[in-house]
Amino acid sequence: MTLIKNLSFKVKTIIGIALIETLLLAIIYFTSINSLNHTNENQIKLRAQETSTLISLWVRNGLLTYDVGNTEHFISSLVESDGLLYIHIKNEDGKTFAFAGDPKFLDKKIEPDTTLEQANLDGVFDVVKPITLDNFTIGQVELGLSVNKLSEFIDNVANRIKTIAAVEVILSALFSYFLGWLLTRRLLRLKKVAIDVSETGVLKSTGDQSKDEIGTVSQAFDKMSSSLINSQKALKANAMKLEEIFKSTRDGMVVISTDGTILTVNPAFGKLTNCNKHFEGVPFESLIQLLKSKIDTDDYESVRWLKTISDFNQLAHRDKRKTKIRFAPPNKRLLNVNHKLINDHETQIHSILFFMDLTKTEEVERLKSEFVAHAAHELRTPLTSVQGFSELLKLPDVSNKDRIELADIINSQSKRVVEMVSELLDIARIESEGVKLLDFQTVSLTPVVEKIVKEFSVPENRKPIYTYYKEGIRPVLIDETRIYQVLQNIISNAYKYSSESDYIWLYVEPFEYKYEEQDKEGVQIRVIDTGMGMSEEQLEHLFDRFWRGDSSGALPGTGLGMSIVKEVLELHSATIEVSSELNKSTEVTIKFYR
Amino acid sequence: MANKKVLIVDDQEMIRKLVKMTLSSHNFDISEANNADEALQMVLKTRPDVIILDIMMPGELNGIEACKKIRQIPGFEETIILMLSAKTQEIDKEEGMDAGATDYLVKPFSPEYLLIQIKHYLNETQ
Repeated sequence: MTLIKNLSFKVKTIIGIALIETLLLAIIYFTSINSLNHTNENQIKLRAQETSTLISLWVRNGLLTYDVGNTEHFISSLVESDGLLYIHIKNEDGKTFAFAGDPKFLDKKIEPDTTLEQANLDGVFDVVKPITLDNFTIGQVELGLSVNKLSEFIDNVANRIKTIAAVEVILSALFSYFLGWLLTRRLLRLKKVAIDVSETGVLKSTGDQSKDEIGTVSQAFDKMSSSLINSQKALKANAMKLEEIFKSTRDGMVVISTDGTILTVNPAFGKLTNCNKHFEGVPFESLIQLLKSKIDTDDYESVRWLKTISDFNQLAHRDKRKTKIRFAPPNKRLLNVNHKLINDHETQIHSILFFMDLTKTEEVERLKSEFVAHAAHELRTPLTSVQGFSELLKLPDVSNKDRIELADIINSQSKRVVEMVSELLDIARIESEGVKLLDFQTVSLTPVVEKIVKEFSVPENRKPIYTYYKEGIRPVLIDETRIYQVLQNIISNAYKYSSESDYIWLYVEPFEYKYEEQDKEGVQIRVIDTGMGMSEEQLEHLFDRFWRGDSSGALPGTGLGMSIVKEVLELHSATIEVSSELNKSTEVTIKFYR
Repeated sequence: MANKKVLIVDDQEMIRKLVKMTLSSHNFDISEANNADEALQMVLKTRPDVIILDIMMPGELNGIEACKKIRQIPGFEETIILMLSAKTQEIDKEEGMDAGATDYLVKPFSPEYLLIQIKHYLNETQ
């Protein structure tokens, strides 16, 4: 059975047709040979009958007259004719009267044959016919007809039939081969295309547009493979997208297999844990060991988390647990760990561990709360003055002169509180809104600076600001009110940290810079004073929030001015440089790029 | 009886002035310092009975470190040191007391309360 199964459709067709053909040919062969035999038998019998009757009539007179010579002459002439082997004439006593033909039949005992089959035994159809005269038997004729010639003829016929049959079988085999080839050729082509498509994944048409059965099957196949390949492409694209996300995300991911090994980890995990080992296929416990060696063992939460997660069999109960773990130096990162149970046997994913870097967030939070603490502390100082001095004001033995001084102090300190609050709000707004806060317009800086200088109230007994404006200054993109605030701050600092004899100069001028290897022209504002200047250490802290050049409290200010200046200029993509020499001068340069 | 000596250490002139005015009509000899270094020099120079010490000051040392240093100077182990700080959390207070402060007062403060505390601790030591 399996042998038949393994045969190709083509061979099966050939064998089938050959079998039917052979069967039909065999039937034809046997029936035709049979009927041919039958016809010959009758003919031979008839001929034997006729010949013996003829001879008996002819030799009767010879027998009666004992004319042996003529009788022998007659039968000899007959024997010479086709198919007669011998003629034996016997008298009434059964003795030889005359004989013609092969002498070996002379003494042979003749058994008359009634069928061709009997004759075929010796190749001679023997006939015995009595010679009668008026119902008296006067002798008998014995004669033998050769059946060899006949069987030769039949053999001949049979051989021809066989030859024809063979040719017929070969021809039909060839035909069926051709037919099979014609049918299977297209099936084979379909098969080849199917294999090609499945192996290469590239869409390939069978090209069979005919309307017959195989054609429609081919077209159905084309349709199927095209839709298969399209969905395969979509799947592939999707998989690539996911892979890309997996690889490029900043969060670390560890995918754990259902058999307790690590399926895969993404590059971010290596980065976050400072470990570039290959984890694929490694038991989950090894990962735990590695984390154990890296975490900060003083951090209770990290240690506890590792303990609870270290048994893989218990991992399933840790679904959606969130923990923060901290690494020991030099890594020192704080990571948020999230465990997500998947338990999908098809993808073999048991669960995924997500590691999110909280180090920056923690730092920002720390800076924020530090700022708040600092702000609160700084607000407490003027509030302490307000509260304390107002209490002193209530005391009964305060002189009028002191009363006025106390009131002045309370007034100036409360003003300082108001100023600080508004500046703190300003900082908060700049931080939360950023560039959105600004209203940019392209304007020429010269009139803007002129206006600020004109409106600035120079303190009593102080020299004015000496200004220098270069001609042909290019316009820049700025928020006028914010730049007003910036310059106001810088100029008032210049006055604050200098004395009556000092000078303040202000320049508005172009400057050159390179941008992408091209020469560009920007605009800069320089404010120079010949005041007390700053040490290098002081310069370092200039832009720190709440830092003050004068920490005594003698000069008004909040310590927030310069940090606001810096942030506003950053939003303008402008830069600020400060150079200073203690007890000599300070130079502030603001550069606007175009 | 000689006047008691008070050293006011604070980087804010306004605060020093406030404390000074609070104590002005109560017979104290007052000296001032505006950072920790200056404070240590003034301690040796004036040998105060009471030190009013701010914590957050510019310079290398803050009030906490200054307090520890003062306690190491012979003869100042028991001197009244009143910390006066805008740091108001319990943990700041603990830090101050651990550094050896006699008491820890927070800003803003009531001048009258400060005066009462100074007198209270002075009476105790006598």
